[in-house]
Amino acid sequence: MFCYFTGALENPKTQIPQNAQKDAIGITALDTASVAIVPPKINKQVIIIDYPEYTNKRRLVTSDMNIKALEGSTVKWRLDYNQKIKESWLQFGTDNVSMSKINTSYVALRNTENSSFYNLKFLDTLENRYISDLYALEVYKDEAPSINITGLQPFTSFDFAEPQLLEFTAHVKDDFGLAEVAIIATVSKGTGESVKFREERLSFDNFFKKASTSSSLKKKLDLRTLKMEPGDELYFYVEATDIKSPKPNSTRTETFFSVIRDTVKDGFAVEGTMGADLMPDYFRSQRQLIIDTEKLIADESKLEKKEYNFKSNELGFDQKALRLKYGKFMGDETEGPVAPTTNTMADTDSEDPLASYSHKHDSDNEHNLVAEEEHDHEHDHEESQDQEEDPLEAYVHNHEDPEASTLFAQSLKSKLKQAMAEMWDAELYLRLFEPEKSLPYQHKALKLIQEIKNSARIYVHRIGFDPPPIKESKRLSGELGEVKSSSKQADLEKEFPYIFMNRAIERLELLRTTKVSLQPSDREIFQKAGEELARLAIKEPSKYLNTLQGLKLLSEAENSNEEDLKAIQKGLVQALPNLSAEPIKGDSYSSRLNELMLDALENNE
Amino acid sequence: MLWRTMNSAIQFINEKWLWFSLLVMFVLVLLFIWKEWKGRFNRIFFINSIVALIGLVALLFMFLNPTWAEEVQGKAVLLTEGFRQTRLDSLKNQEQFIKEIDYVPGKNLKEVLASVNKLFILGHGVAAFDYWQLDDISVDYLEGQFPSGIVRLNYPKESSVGTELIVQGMYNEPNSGTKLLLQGAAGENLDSTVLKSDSKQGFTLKAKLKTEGKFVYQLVETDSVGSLIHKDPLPVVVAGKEVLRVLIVNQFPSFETKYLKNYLSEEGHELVVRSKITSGKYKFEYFNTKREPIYGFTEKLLASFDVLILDTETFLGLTRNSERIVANSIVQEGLGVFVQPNNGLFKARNTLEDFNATIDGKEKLTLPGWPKNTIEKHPYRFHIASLKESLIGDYAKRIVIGKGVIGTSLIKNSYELVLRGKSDMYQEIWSSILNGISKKTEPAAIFDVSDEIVFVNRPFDFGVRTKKDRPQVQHSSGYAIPLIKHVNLDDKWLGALYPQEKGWDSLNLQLDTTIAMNYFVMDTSKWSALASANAIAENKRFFNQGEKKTLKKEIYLSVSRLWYLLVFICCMGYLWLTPKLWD
Repeated sequence: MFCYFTGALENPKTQIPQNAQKDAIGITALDTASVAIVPPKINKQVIIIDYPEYTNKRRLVTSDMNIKALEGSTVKWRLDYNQKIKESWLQFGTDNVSMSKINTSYVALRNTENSSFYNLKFLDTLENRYISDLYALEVYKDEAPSINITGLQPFTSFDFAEPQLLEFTAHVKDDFGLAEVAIIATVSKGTGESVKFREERLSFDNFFKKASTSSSLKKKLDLRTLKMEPGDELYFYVEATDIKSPKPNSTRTETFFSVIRDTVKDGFAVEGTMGADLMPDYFRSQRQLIIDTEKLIADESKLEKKEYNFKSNELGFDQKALRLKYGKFMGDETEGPVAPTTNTMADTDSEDPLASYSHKHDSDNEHNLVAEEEHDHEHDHEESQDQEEDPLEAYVHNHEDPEASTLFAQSLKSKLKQAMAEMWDAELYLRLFEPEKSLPYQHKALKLIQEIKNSARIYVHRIGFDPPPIKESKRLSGELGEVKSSSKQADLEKEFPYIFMNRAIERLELLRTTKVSLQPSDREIFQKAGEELARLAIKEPSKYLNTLQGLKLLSEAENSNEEDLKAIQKGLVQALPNLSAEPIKGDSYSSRLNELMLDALENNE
Repeated sequence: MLWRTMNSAIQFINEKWLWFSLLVMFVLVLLFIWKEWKGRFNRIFFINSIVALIGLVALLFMFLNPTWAEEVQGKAVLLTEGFRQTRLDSLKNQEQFIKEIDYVPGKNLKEVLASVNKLFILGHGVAAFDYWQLDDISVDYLEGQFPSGIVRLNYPKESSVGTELIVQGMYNEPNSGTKLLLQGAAGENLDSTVLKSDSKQGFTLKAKLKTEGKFVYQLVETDSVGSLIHKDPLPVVVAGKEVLRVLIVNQFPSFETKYLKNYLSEEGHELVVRSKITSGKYKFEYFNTKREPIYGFTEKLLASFDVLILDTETFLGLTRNSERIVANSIVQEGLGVFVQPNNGLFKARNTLEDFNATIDGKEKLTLPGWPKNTIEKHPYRFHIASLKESLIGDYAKRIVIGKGVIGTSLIKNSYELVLRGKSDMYQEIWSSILNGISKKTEPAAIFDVSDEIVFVNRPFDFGVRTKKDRPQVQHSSGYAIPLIKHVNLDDKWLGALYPQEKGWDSLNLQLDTTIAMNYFVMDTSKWSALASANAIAENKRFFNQGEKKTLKKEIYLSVSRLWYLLVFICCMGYLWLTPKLWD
């Protein structure tokens, strides 16, 4: 590797910027005894920055000692002195990198990992020490790609009937090049415990050029192609990775949702804050009826006709019971069950086919009402006898007819009425041993009931858990045997991170204002203060560089002048963060006079 | 020493030889009379005896050197810095032969004022260390031109890390646009204010003290275009922090305590928290200190804490014995007790101390530094009923009981400030409350300095307060400084220094070198307006207050001893010559 770099330096194609010699390196002699000696100078410095291979960036050759390099780059310094020197190092904090002599130049190599400050130190042939100004080696990171998605809402929903298309554009950018951009889609099916997930990695519609720094990618996503059904949900996000190696950066967008509405399963969810499901249990029986009806239809072939009819009638009765319960909600007792009863059946049939299936609690009082209602239905029947597809059309309340239905939100009561009418029709077909025809009405009734439940939620939520007050005598009388005293011990004092900066300030003030001179022990203080300051300086190099440089000189030099000390002190004080207010102990001398005064106050009040 | 004889007007300088001289004189008189005695009382005998007596009296006076007092009536005017010429002229107009003297601080005035019994001082006045020279003269101080500039200054010369350095002062006759700038020790700008054209204007400059050590801050005065007018030093000794030992006892865990303990423990204070879980069961928390369960209060236990924080329930529910122990710890050990308030505290009566609060109905409070932020408070207001009571901000009250303090605040749910991100406000409130309440370390001695500024080559008077016998103070150079005991105060000793070098210097007690005082000696050209204003006030107080009485000033006159010698020689000559003439 070393040879590679030295080779690169010899390579005539390597371009050195024209202003290479403009950036002269400031050198300070540390040994005061050698004033008479002409200090060595640096004729030429060349800094070569080789970017990591994946970036495909050309090497940068500069003479500026303040370096900005990408993380993972290799930096090489080559210095030519104007006279012979004995040894040369680069100092990165406490880390010394020795420079090797190649021909007439001194060369050092370093892989950039973290930002730091460095300076040059060298010995001339008479072993006089010299130190250069401080320079910043600023390391920046390869940034993760950025993705901006347009034309898409965070949440979209579709009806099953309408086209289920999602169309969006992803604008992706990266500083050194993108490796891959993909859509990660997850489809969830089912609810509750039976939920299933399916993950797919989708590519964009237009061509993505690898290693490009920016790209606009389009995607038309058809939910049908993802085999989605009503109630299914799609979650997806866009993920981009860059070409950084060995560990690429990756970014992902927020997750977008898309759902195909399931109009039937508009389930009621109890909110987490509620302690109990306060909905009355009979709201569930319509669903049970549907399940039982579907079971009956499925079992038709296995059952005898009589048993089939009996079960159908039984379901019809249950449907009626449910309708009656809802009737109570209406507060309308007169609106009794109107359904074909055994009696009405008897009128049309000499033999009562339902006699053996009917329950006695189908009261006789219903008879007249039923007859009346039936009459109405018969009347309707006459009017629409030409509609052959569905001979019973006339007997039912056709709520799907837009003219008949209310276009706007119906009141709870009218919805309930509507649901009861649907139940009635459902019952009718059950009683006629035609559960297949009954099912659509049952579904309609269920949907309406659920809508009612959803709109009724507002009332339900008002009920909170209000525990009864505990009797005074019962309070704090529990078993306390298990309750034990506990203790915890912790040392939470935060260590002050700028101890040496503080000590350096105190010391500098003394050095400036008194006759105290720089001691060897001060060097350690200034060096450590420099390390503390370097941590701050990495974030804002321009602000603290001079102070840092001054501290570096102080920690190496043997004397200094007041102005420099003042500038360093100023820099350090400004770098120190403000302390938070905190109580202090303080001292107070209680003099005899104070004591007498307090005694007098005590006694006279 | 002068001694008054029977004749109050005549005094002898060699009074101690008086009786001996009279005896010798008597013997000599007898000898002369015997010598003149020729057997009969003739004219010659009488003449010679009288001449001998005169000669001997002259001899006696030559030896005893008699003096006599004579009242002086002279008037003079002492011209100090900043005197008004018009006032001098009008004075001269009134008093025609008045003597003019220019004042130089420290110079001997006794001689020039010997014949003066009435002195007018014009200008900023004489330095306090020259008062003694004027103690036998009746003085009229006629104040000079009041100086323009900073005439009053107040700032803590000793402070702690983390606290704010608050420099307050009064500027007399500022020009519009004059800027005051507080600079740090290394010249960093910390705070500034621009003055308006006014007769007098107060100012406040603030800066956080970040590091411990001895620093010389600067107060820089520039005019409206930024050119420097004055730069005066503000020496500050910043001490490191000392941790508090705090005991919190709560009837049940609360958010208020939780946040307070977080704040204190993170700052490194030693903290023990006892919260009751249920009857007889407690949760103990120890922060930055060792485990040591606390069940009941004892005087020994409380002596190890600086602050005891109790919630209202615990405070009102203290048993009689616990209450006595807490009270004793406050009175004798200087313990600070803080009661975390709830509305019940101000309604209920407690036997320890009444906090004397009445309902004001206000439930919000703002602090001066944070005008936009409000904080919840109990709807009460504190009243100050005696000198023992004082307020911290306007939200807390402290009552001094013996050596210690008990206090409470009106603030409710102060932890909400932390939740709202106003930690600085929270810390300010609690640090000022705890600073006002906590037990203070009682040093064996303290230095007590009244001089605001110490100037080079000017006497620097200091005091030492200690209950120890014969304290000895040593200068940093190793010299012992003699002290004299205060006339009235048993525990106060006074000393004076004459600093010769500018810069930091220190004094310490010889027996306990930790008790020390650092002082900064500055050039006499610094703080000139302030020094003049102080001198004016001081001179006015010293010379113009109280009843004026005309001092009767006398000077002592004596005849040169040569005259006595001449008389003696003449007498002796005569006595030697007469026998020869008569014979």
